[in-house]
Amino acid sequence: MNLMLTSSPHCRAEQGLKAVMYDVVLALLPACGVSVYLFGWRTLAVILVCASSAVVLEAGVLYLRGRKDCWQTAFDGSAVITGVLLAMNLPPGIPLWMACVGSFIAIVVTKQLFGGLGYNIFNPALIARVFLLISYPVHMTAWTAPLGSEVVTAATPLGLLKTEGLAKVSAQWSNWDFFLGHTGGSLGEMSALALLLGAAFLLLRKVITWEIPLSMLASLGLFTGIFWLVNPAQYASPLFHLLTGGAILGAFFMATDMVTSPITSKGMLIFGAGIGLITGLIRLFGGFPEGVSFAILIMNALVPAIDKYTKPRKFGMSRGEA
Amino acid sequence: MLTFKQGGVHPSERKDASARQAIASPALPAEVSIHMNQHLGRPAKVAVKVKDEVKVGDIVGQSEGLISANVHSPVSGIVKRVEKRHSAAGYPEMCVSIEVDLARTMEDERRFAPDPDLVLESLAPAQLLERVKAAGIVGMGGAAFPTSVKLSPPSDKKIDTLLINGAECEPYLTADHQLMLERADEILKGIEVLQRILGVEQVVIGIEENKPDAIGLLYEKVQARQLKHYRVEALRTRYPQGGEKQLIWAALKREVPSGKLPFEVGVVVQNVATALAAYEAIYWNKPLFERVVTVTGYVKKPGNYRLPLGVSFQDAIQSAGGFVNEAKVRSVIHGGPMMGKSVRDLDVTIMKGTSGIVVLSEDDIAFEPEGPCIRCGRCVSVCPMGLMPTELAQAARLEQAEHLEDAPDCMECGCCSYTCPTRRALVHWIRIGKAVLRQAQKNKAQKSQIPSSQAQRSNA
Repeated sequence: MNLMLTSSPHCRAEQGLKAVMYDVVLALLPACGVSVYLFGWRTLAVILVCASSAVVLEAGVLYLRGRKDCWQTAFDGSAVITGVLLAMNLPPGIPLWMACVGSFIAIVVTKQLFGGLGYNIFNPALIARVFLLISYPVHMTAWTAPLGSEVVTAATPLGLLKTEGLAKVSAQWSNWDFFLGHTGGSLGEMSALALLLGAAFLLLRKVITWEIPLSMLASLGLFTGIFWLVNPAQYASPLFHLLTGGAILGAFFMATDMVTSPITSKGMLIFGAGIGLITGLIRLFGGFPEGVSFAILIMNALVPAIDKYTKPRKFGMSRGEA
Repeated sequence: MLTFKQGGVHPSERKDASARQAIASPALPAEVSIHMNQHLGRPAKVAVKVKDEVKVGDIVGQSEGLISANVHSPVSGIVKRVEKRHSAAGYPEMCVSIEVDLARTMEDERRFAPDPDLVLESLAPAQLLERVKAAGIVGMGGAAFPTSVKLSPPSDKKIDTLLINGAECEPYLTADHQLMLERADEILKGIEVLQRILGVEQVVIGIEENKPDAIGLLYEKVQARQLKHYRVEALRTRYPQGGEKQLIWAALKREVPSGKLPFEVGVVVQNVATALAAYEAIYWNKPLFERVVTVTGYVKKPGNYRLPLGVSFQDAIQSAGGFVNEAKVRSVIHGGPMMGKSVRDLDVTIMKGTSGIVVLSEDDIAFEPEGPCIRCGRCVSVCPMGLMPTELAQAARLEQAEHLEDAPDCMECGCCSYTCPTRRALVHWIRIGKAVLRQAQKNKAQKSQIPSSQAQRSNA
């Protein structure tokens, strides 16, 4: 009889890589549904083109790298997530070829050139978004108006806030519009409710933990809240900042990207708080109306340092020694 | 609910198949093969020759040195072979094979019976300790550390608590559970023996809450015997609740310092089966030559079996009805699935530390290749010792001894590998990392011993 000799432990948790990855895809479906509802079927094309081009590019690079099972690895779920998250960061009217360029930057440049899954420093979807924003600023800020609007194009709440001021924003939308999603913006900036549904699912399934979202939203809320308390006529409320733009998407789906975030609990708290703070700074005082992408990318760069200085306290180690 | 400080996992328990199955005593096999390395420390020295006649309870291996233990024959018969062969622990070591004389074994076994006249107080602690030592008792939870050593704390350490480990946190295993149900009174008497040796008042018995009947029974017995300063505590069902340092935290909220023994915080931990062995050694004058083993998993009659030391895994599995379907058997584990070792063949034999034999089929083990670390941080959050397993494993791969300083704190509980979504063999690499660190420390010590050669090298 042929017995397998294996190293302990001899049993493994059920939730493997694929389960983790496809849970994230599943969690994004409500938000995808809302954007398709608001902006029409073309939005679905954007999502599908992003996801499929990401998978194809992933398989292609794996093939060039001489990896076995290129297709199987490409379908491990991580490329699909990157594709869908990229779509969530694009305006509904984006030309499809531009979406493919985004996939190329995300998968080939940001992920595979750094060594593939597990080795990239920066969030692939966000590098792609920032690349597109700088390269094609016109297309990346042309916002389709959502279903039921009388106009063809619309502004994003944060964009309007930057250009026209708070009064104009308050006149156009209520907080409920932000919560349910009835503004201009990227696919994933629409309904906070749909995003939160997915987020709750991920938290329940323990795919993500609470540290990063909580600390990011808390620090963004705190930072914007201070200015709002000082001058509510000029500065928008913290609730506005939490419900608009990429705050929710960023907190639960982008910043929590495992590869590019810290591995210690304390590190995650610092990481999230940093993102919230930088986002607030950019939104209130920066040149861009929205800062979540930049904030996450800046904090991505700090992850190795954060990990180094937030080692957990070893059991049996007194404070002096640790 | 009491539990340990941090981390841990909750694997599927899979205890139902053998839980509350009465301890069965299968027929003796034709031959037993008894290893000399059944304990941690130095192997015992073979004390018999081929063709010698031995009786049940005779010493076949003599304790060698400070940390070692006697090994006794569980049968009467003739010594057939004395040879080096692989043990269930995975190393080749001296082994005595005895042809079993069934009739004489039955006859000779009778001399191990309870002594009704024995009064514990009439024996001095030193005498008790001597008898526990002579009986070859070792920790029966799996680590098999010689009990007499654990019962001899350094004189500068004041021990105030005896902690009895009935957690049995490994999946599948139920032997300790069944022992507590069937032999609670004797276990308590054994605890009294250990208590007297240590001279401690406070006793805490820790049992995971998935064994409510055992908790209830021991609580009742403690009340009935009017034992003062005894606490029976229900512990949260969470792996590795039975880890020594984890159990001490759960029951007493004391933290054993890194690299130190429980003596440091005034505690001695003993397993329930070990307490029973101490009882038998004192009251029955019976050395440790058999134990209860959970034989379970992919076998026809999973259960708890009283097996003599030296019975082959083949025979033990036969006693449990044999494999369900031999063609589908993938792995046989010595111990539980979290910390046990897979064995190379079924000729290996039962040892003092064999808490279970778990047979895993191809349906139980999914072969998934190791993927890259996706930095999810789960290994960090489940580590009960507060380590960063993925970083230690990486340092081990790269042989970076300077980043492996924390490796010795790893008790190899396996939570990190268990939880890793890309199935990385983290514990395996950390084990290698410990060796890398030891080697580096050795090299450093050698260098500092011969400064002249170092100087020469730097000149060159």
